[in-house]
Amino acid sequence: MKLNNKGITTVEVLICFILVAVITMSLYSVISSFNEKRLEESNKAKILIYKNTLTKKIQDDIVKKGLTYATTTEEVNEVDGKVVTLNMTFKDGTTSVLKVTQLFTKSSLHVDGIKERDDKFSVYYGKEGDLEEYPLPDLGEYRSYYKEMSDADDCDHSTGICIESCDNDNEECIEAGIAKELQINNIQIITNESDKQIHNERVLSIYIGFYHPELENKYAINIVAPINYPTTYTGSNKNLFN
Amino acid sequence: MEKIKKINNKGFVLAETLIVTVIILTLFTMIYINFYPLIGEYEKREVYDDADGKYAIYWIKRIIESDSYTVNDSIKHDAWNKYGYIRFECKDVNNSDNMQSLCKELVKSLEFSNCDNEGNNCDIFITKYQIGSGGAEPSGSNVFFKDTVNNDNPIRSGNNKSIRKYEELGKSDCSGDASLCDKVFPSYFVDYINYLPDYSNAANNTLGYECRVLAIIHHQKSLGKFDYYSFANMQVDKKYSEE
Repeated sequence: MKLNNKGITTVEVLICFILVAVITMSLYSVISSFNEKRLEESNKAKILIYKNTLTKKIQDDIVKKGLTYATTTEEVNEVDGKVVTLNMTFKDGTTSVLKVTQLFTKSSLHVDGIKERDDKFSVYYGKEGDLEEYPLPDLGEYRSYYKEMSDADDCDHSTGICIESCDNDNEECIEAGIAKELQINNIQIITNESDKQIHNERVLSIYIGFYHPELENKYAINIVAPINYPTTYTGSNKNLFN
Repeated sequence: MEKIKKINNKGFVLAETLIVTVIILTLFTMIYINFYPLIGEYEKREVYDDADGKYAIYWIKRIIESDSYTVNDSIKHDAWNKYGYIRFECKDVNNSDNMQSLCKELVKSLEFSNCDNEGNNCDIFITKYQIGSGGAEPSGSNVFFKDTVNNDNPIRSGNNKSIRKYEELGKSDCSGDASLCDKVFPSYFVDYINYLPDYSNAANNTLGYECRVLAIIHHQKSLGKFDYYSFANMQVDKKYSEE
């Protein structure tokens, strides 16, 4: 009895399928990592465009008009959260205002029982009375989770309930709501009359730090400029060496 | 009964698949090896001449171009002729209109790398406008900054041509202070300088700039900030006389 010797064996077919499947799966993992990288670069580009637009607007005013005076105020209110305002006066007598708002709303475990997070972060810049809003770019949201703190002594009892953030795969975690991925996590403005001044009165320093879960706190608006830069430069000393 | 001795010699799918698999894997390996370093290069260049760095170096340019800045130091003059650069320091700014104190505050707030409390020893370098030879052979009569940074400085000999801090200060050796034995230019700065063009095309220099300022900025990890280095350069309207 002759065997059929014109076809292929089952073993050969199986080995071929296994080889093709291994190649396909390895390519899939590479492509999915590139997709994550693409999303990260897209988020980075949005943050950089936002940061550079604001930096250019503020620096252009400082460079072209010349800063003579700067003062800052800080307040906290229910509607806007923490509000830091910088008033800048220029050599031509005009003024500009930079206002940064940072509102982290409470979780559903708070005594007020607010269920949805509604964080608000924004930057306003322009002439006094005519501020233009520059809202943070929308890079998505994530679900935030909290649980009751185990050690009540470390808790701030003024909030009513002591809570801390936790990973969502823990059974004790309770969903607090949706939080924005891009946040303003750090605002430092040092001017002529700031209580927090580290240097003396000649330098304005503006630092508005951003936070993103994947990009962390790498990006920020960081502006440093002299106040009352002297105008006695005549351009007569053109020589590098004496 | 005849023994079945015939072997299936017509099937070839496995051999084909193996050959194709090897070819595909080789191709993808070659692509991977050539592609991944490009991602590293792209990420490195993110901190080259970014907006913050350009504005930071702009204020140093303003100080250099002002009437208050002139270099009287003969050691720096020698270094300019020998190595093609000098270091910007606030001690060379005279204190009319409190410019020197402003200089100290600015370099500290702008976080230039390596500055001491007096605004000296900063990694801010003033060079000639043209930083590379434009393809010509390096020569002792006209030293370019790129040659100095890349160990191709034509006046140097030996295997290790990387310029050391004691040489920049005009000393013969680094005995007594081990920190003077360190290299002036860190490797990440060398990469930045090699990335820059030579600026050898005079047509681009329509305003006749003779100098350029280049700097390393160290964004410190403090108060929640991210720790990293960035780099910037800008042309400067200042003249030097060639001997």
